[in-house]
Amino acid sequence: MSAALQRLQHELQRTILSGVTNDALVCGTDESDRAARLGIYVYAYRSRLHDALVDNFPMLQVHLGSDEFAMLARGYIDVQPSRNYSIRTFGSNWSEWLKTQRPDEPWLSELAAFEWALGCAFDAPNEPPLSCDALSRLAVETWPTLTFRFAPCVRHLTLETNAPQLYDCAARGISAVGRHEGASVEWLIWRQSLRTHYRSLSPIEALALTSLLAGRTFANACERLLYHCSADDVPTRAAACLKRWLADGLIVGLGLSGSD
Amino acid sequence: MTSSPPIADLGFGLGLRPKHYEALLGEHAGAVDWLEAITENYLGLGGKPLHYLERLREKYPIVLHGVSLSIGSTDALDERYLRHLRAFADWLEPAWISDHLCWTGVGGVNLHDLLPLPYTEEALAHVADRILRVQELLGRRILIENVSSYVAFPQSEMREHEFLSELAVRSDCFVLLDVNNVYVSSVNHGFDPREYIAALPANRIAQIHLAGHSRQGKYLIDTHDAPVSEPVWALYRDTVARFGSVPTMIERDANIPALDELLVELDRARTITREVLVDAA
Repeated sequence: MSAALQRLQHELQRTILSGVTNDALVCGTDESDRAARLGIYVYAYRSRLHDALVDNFPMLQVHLGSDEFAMLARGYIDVQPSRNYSIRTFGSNWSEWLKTQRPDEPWLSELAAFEWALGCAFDAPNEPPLSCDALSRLAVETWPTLTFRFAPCVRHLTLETNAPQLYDCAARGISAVGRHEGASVEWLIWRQSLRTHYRSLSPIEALALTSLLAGRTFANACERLLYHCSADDVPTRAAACLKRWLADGLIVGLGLSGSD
Repeated sequence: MTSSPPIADLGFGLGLRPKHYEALLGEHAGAVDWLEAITENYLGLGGKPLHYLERLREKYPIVLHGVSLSIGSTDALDERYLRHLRAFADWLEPAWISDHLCWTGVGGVNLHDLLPLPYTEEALAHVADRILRVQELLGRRILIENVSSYVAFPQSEMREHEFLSELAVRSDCFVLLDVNNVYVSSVNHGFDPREYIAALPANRIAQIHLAGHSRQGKYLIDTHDAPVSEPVWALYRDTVARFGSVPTMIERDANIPALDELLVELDRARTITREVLVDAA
């Protein structure tokens, strides 16, 4: 067992994470040389994770400004060491953390959630979309127990601020846009071919999508639509949703409830 | 684990960066002999990154270069990562897979840095065992790269090149020799980089990295944000004289210029290799 090596690695990692250099760990000509050498790693750690956040939340940085973004990033880096082999995922909890730090500015965590969803949609694994033909070939009796598998790029968000508008304005270089809250709006984010898209959802489409994303059956999703439309309208509205999702390449597989 | 074929001499390549995707497929198609993709930039992903990698592999040999194997860590090997890497490599069919002689974290943390090891017998045995296991899981021999370092440890019992040479023999792996890293570490720790290179086993050197660095006070930092420096070119000349023609590539990760500029740098590597080999003939 590599006990000495293990001790050394934990000590050095503690130094890097805390920023408090333990210069007895390393060689050097004097105390300041040893501290400077360790300081290179301490600085690089924070710098690299900060850059990963900038890469994944560029429009949040535009809205906050570099200094405030960096200050918040430092706080997040201090409490959230990366635990994934890819630095790309370091920002996965950034939105939730911002919510706790700035509860009076919900636009901030929602813009982070929105940018994160866009990033996930951008490079999520590929899966070939299902064609309309695949659905039209299904026997009528299978529809009630039908379940749908959505593409890995599909993201659904409920937002109470105008975060998507803030994103859009920053991306277009428009700075004069107000931040406001309102009734919650459901958003769909996805990628088709290589392009990332987003759009708001009607209450009916949102309800159908959340039901099916949660693995509910088609019959169950239709029952839930009765909250928003008459029984006569349900088949038409459900069919319209499916048609659009298929056209957008959101559905990649089908299943039957109760079977593998 | 010696069934893998010898490493091919692919010629002169570049580190693959998104900024150059279109140029490598279009106006500069075929301008480099091969490309090195950062494993973690593609592993488990789809969309544009994978789209371009698929298109580029139709035109170029690709090699995979990882930054998260953490072969020197005292944490257990990340078998999930290795399973993903194996599946990805089976699909991509890279010419080879490399990673670094370093550790990136312990206790489940990833510091996303290439941290140096103490050069002890304990560490050597630990890393050699892990490389053997990794090669078994990946079904191929891997390349291990020397890293730039800014600290050395009082526990070290041997010099870095001695550790690396012995490691390659014990674990039957290849060496990815980063000439810039040798130079950066030689300045930071006060050793002779030529002696380092001269002492490495020639039959293990399978790839060479060239890159730029920057100065921070009395230390050199491996920033990959500038052209290859003159002392590194001189050391590269010595390296070719020592090992002959070895697949060579340039890494650039910040201040990334247009592809043309990197191609001019790469031509310098070609010229040096040609000159050295002609002189030796």
